Amino acid sequence: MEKGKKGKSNYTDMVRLEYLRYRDILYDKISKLPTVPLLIETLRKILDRYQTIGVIVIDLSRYGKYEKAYGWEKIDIIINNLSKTINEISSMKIWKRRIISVNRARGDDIVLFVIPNNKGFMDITVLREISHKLIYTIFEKIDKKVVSKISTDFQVYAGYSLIFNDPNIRLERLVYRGINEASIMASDYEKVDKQFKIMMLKRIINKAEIKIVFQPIIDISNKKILGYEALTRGPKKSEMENPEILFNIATEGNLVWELERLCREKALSYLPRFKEHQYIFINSEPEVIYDPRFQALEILKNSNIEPQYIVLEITERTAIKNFQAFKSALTFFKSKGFKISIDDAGAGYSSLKSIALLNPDFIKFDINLIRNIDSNLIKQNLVLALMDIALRIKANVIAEGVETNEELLTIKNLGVKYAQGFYFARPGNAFPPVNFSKV
Amino acid sequence: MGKKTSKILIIENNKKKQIEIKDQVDKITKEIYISSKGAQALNDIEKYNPDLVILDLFLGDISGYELTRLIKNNYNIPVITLTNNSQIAPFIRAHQEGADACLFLPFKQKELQNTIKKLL
Repeated sequence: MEKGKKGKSNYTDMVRLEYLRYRDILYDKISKLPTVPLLIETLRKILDRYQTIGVIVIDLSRYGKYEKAYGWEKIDIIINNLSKTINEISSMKIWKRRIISVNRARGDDIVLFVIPNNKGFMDITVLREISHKLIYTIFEKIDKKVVSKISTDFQVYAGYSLIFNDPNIRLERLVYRGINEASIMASDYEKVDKQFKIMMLKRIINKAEIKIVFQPIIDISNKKILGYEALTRGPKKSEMENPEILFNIATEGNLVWELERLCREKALSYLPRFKEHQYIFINSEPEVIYDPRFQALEILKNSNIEPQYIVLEITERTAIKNFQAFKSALTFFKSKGFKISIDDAGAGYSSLKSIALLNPDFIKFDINLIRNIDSNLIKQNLVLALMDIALRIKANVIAEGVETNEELLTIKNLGVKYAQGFYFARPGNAFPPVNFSKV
Repeated sequence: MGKKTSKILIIENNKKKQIEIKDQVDKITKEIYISSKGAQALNDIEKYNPDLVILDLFLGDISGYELTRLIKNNYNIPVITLTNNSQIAPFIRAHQEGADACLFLPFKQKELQNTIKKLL
């Protein structure tokens, strides 16, 4: 039934493809701003007239780093919102049409070109002033609700540089060189900030200022509590209250082992308060087997919990990345009677085969997979494929991050037995109550 | 489907897989078009104006992800993507480019038909 005319059609095929490709590239998909190539001719005119042009780079890539914690869907919204704000600001009257905003590439950072004033005056102090004013206005104008979703401590960094006309250097190269200089400056500001945060974290660990909260995992069909996941929270009202950010900073400062041990020991200290036959789920790196304090299992002696009710959650990402460490952890813990769970399954780091090979007792679906699953067929497709594997290796599946009734109904229909999420109970002090009428 | 028969475009370079997909789609509609080349697909969409597109993410000539993005950015047509290895990442990437569904090959029973019915 192939109807395309052969030979002749090939040419037009390529023309349409190329046309759509260019249209796609010239405007950034996420920020909806034009990209640099589209502006080269405009910049040439300005440089020919004034000999110099200022460039300011606003670095949004730090939001990219939160992508792992919040998922790309949320980050897209934030970057879109930020670039809209920046675009609005740069078209404000106070600048007298002196600023053109563009996107460097794929939503990583926003580039602003600053045109000299009528007298052709432009120097680095003017740029510094403008960039400070810009950042200040962003803080005033940004939709706080959107940003606070990922961080209570909202930050943007800007760097700046000057481009001087030089007929001996290709214009494109001049422009990109300027952009690079400015973004190096922006990332230097960020590095200082990061170092500061690492020191804050050292203090937090030293004073054991973390808090353990528990979130129930519900047996949907029997309306029972299967167990609780122990979650970590940093000090209240700081950026580090969010555990993902807390652990991101720990990774950057090489403090994961210390932080993990603190969390683990604090979580296990709640064991005596657990009811019989309720599981405690603890997030863990496979390296926990090398912790002599944990190996001694002393913590278990004072509680009525047997090791078979302790589930170590290891993320799909670390399990795949550290397959050997994971395997030895698995063998060690299984021999002691512990259960193993693959956390964040379906986040894209593994394959169906490798999950089967890991052979865990529980598989926990990634939050981003459950979010809006009711209206998203592609997520349902993946859950079904994963359920197939779980059935084959006889693992129990848990849906994490259930927030709405529609999500619950969908996962129920797909055959998921256990669920966890705000819909049932928020993480809270030991132990948050569950409203079973909703189940 | 009801009143009008739906037009479905299959973009697949592998002849064997074309047959496998067509066998499934045949049970839903008889108006099936096949593009064997990714580059040809965009013209075929203009020509046939399909109600749904099924495409393999791993085409010979252009990337299935790019094709998905171009279709979703320029036409309002549901896209079902197919992948034949068991990696999970293609699922997520297809979703990022705007695909409506993604299935592993070979199909499980009625999987493709159910997905098509939900999207039409």
